[in-house]
Amino acid sequence: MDMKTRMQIRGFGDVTFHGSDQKRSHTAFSLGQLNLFVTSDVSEKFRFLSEIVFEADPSNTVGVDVERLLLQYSKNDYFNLSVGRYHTAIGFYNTAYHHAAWLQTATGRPLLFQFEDGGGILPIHNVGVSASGLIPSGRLGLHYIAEIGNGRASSSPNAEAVQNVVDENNGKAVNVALFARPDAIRGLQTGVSDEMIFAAHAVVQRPSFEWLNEALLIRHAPQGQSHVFETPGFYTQISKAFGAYRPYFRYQYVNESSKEPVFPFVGLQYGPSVGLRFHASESVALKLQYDHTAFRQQQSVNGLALQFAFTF
Amino acid sequence: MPRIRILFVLSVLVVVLAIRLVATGPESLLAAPASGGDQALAIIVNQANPVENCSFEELRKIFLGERSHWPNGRRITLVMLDPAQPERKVILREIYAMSEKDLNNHFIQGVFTGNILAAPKTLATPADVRKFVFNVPGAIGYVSATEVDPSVKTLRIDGRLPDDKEYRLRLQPRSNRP
Repeated sequence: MDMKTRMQIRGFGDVTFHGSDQKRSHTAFSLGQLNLFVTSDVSEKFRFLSEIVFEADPSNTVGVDVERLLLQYSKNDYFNLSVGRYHTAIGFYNTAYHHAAWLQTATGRPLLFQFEDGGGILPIHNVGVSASGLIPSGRLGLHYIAEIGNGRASSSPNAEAVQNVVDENNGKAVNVALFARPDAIRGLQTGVSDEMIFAAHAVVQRPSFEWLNEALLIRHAPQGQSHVFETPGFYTQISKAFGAYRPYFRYQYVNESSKEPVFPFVGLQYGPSVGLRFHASESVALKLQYDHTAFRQQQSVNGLALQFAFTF
Repeated sequence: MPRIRILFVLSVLVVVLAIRLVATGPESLLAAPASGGDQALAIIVNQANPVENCSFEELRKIFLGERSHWPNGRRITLVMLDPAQPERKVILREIYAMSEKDLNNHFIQGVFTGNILAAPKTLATPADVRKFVFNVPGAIGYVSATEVDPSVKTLRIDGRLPDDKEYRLRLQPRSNRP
């Protein structure tokens, strides 16, 4: 063996001051997630990866979550296998950005990709097995991802969404994703995934320019009902760097039926976000963001946030 | 006596020129020595690596961490010279088309997402890079072509070696070359 076992830890953190014109809301300094990202080359073929996150909830209590925990086997560029808790490969954002605000252009994730414990409607995390790799396709640069895991708990809205230890049934959630990174357009990635959730994306990501576009159609077919509830959603985000400054714009939309049985509180939400990210140093970013969010039969909300995001 | 000295020096010069002519061919006498700015970079791998040639696009994918294994299944270990070295600037300009800051972010994000198995190893001197590549079967690195020795193997890029006129990786930017 020519590689020594080597553990590396990188940290990410953020603190945000925010306020809005929503009734009964107050301005507040909020601790974001303190994320300890740990990797280790166990051997030439095996690798360990984890994200251990400390975060406070709305009751101001700090808790610890193991957000990702993976043992990865890397046979070659065409076959990699991971077992443990992972971020589902639904769409682009969920595997490109995990629990580190510093890596994200904006202050937060798009509505569609909110975490389960933050009211998100997608199964962001899963516990199981994931296979991924290249598909021989020349300059088209095709990749695949196939996942099978416990899936999201659905027996009760109060249950922990991610079934870390116990599964409520024998059925397993399967997700298959295909994406292409063609040589001809550097930074372009397009792809689709399907799990009862159809997702498609086209993104261009270069150091000084990004344009992210994703659309999803989430389908819920409650047991004992013939009706299938469909929730469409999309977001587009564009940003360009000018030296240490990076202005950005995001528009997002999600429209869930008010009769939707699994997530009845999401409803219709849409609106723009405009922000400016400033790199105070290589490891510290300041972001100032304005959000306007409109709702169905409710007054729209205007919010302002100033975030300090960093890595260490 | 002075005439004999001059004749002796001239004879020595003739012998030296003759030896060089026999050893390297007539081009070596006509070619101008490479200026410091036109030095080529050699992409070096371990002598046991079966790969001899690599396209520039494949090389870019290897350096970006988008390829993590050689065709024989051996894991690729990328080694870079530290940021103070001029050779690294060539790699950033020609292969990555990124600044140091962007490169750093690229690897932080890539390792974080799991798309990249490991960030490059950084070493201080060409001798360190040679030694590392000699010792690690899956290693790939770069040094100035004049620093290459038989302990490592130079990869052909798009079929070209560093002494080829069309070779891309040179200290001088392509726009400034004659």
